[in-house]
Amino acid sequence: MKPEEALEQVAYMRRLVNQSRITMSGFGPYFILWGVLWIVGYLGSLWFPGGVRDYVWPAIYVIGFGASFWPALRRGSGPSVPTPALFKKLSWLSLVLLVGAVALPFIFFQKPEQHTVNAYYPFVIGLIYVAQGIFYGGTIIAIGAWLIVAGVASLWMPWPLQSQFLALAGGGSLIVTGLVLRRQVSRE
Amino acid sequence: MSDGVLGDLNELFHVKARLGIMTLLISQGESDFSTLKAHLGLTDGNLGAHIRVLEEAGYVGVEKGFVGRRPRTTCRVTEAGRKAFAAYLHQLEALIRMVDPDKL
Repeated sequence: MKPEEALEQVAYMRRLVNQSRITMSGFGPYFILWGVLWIVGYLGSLWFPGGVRDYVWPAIYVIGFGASFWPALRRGSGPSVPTPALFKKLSWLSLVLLVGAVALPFIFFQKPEQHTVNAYYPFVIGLIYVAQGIFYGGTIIAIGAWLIVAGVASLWMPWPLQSQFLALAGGGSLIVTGLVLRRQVSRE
Repeated sequence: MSDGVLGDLNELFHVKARLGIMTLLISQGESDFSTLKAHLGLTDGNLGAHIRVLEEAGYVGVEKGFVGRRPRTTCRVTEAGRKAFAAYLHQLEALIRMVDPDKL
């Protein structure tokens, strides 16, 4: 074997490992989308008139989940490379946890206090990210830990500072995470 | 450079398909037949033949079972396979170190 062939062999192995490993690097656009929606949600709940305000977050959930899952549904059975089984299980588990976390305050309290709910969502979504980060790596753990800190810290912030802070710290950091993941894709 | 410099290079792994099988099995721990087929872009017959070669060499273990009613063939690298592949990687590394970057 020639050294050039050895290099080719190594490049081939690297391509295969990258292609088959469990990664969130392709999820950059989704983090950016959710970051923007998060900013619209928190700032919208301050700026939109009273009648519209109540529909801001429900509309965001519909747009966010629709935009996140529509490409996957449209793709159907198309992909030639299979998704690793563990990745599928983690995705379903995360979706169930997320829906459960969103619904929880409304199950236990008919009309939960808005200030607490504002802080609760970043906190609980941060917990889910930290758990996912065990499999997906440091970037996801970092955003999860930051959201937990931001959620808890926002409990002591008065309105409207709390919403402004969560829009910037929560939405902003989701956008930054999305950009980091997109850079990882271009490097791969 | 002549091929004689590393004469004991394991030719079994030199074939791209078998190199791919070993790489995926080692990076994933284990894999089923259809996953390997999709990642490597091989036909059933081709993949089966390469797995058989690795199995006969004692480098890969094959387990046939069922998931529900569907048959499932799971492949794993054996300890001997792991050692042989590690040795092969060391040889590749040694070869690459000999490269003069200006000549590539």
